[in-house]
Amino acid sequence: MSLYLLPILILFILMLSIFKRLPAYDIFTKGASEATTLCIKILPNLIAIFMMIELLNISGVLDFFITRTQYIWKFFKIPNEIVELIILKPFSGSGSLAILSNIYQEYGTNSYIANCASIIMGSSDTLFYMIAVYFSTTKIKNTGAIIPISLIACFIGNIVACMICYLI
Amino acid sequence: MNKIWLIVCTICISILTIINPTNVLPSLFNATHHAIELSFTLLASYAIWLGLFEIIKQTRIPTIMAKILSPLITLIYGKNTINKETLHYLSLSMSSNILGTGGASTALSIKTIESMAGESTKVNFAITMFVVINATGLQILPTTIITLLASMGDTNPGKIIIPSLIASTISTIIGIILVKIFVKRGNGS
Repeated sequence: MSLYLLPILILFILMLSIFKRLPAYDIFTKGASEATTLCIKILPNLIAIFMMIELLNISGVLDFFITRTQYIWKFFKIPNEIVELIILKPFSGSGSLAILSNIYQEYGTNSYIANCASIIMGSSDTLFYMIAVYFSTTKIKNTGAIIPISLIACFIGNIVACMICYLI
Repeated sequence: MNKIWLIVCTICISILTIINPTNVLPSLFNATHHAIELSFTLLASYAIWLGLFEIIKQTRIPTIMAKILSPLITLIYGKNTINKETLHYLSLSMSSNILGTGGASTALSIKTIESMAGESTKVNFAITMFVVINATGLQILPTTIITLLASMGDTNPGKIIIPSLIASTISTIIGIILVKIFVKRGNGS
């Protein structure tokens, strides 16, 4: 079903413009030209975020943090491999995807750990990357309560995800 | 963001200066390289979606979507916090998020925030709510994970759809409640 969704959506838009006799080419290129300015505005933010993630990884701060907070995770019955995923997910999409495929390879795709991991990945987003991209075109410098609230909500969602797996 | 970035980078670089000083600059270059690569990928996807979106804007689709979603939007964002232009962006971005059309929803989300923020330099209630909802993952089909599961030889990758939906619904609801409690509601612009 989802296979046909996007082609049909695009086709529908094009059909509409035929039906409404719109100068589709002109309008499309006008919209597409916005993408170039958007990307130039996003790029510096991406660079800064990627630098931070890379530094976190190679300096070993992330690993240190994970081993130091282990007792919290034990309390919620969250396996160690998952902890790494939960912490990395808000920072890096590709990084957490790499951990996910490692988990699949090591534990198979049907184990408790693999199920937990899939659901956590499927139910949360890469927060810091998102914020960098979202606010790059605005004049906003201080994101206020967004980061703490999102982190708390995602964290509770992740715990729920593990509990769901624990039950089934 | 300023504080987090500065603190994290300072701590990491000071540790690296002690344990592995030759690695600092190469890793920064590496990160920048990745960022530039990604921005080209994004450019490709945004160009397509913003182009198509420009066509959509000429039709009545935004008005119709806004009408369908307006009860939900009023419930979440409250009355009179969102003007008409923002409403169009918001409803399109919500629908593309729900459909899980990756690049399209990011491009539309940027447009929505731009329109919500205007010239203001402070985050308001609507922006906070919007980002929190997106961050807690309002997506029906986690396509990337399903693809990865399938490529690893899983026979039933669809099994994760309903549990993920439950988990992300719960985190989204918690997010909405937290924003409603802790963030002051100003009049939108």
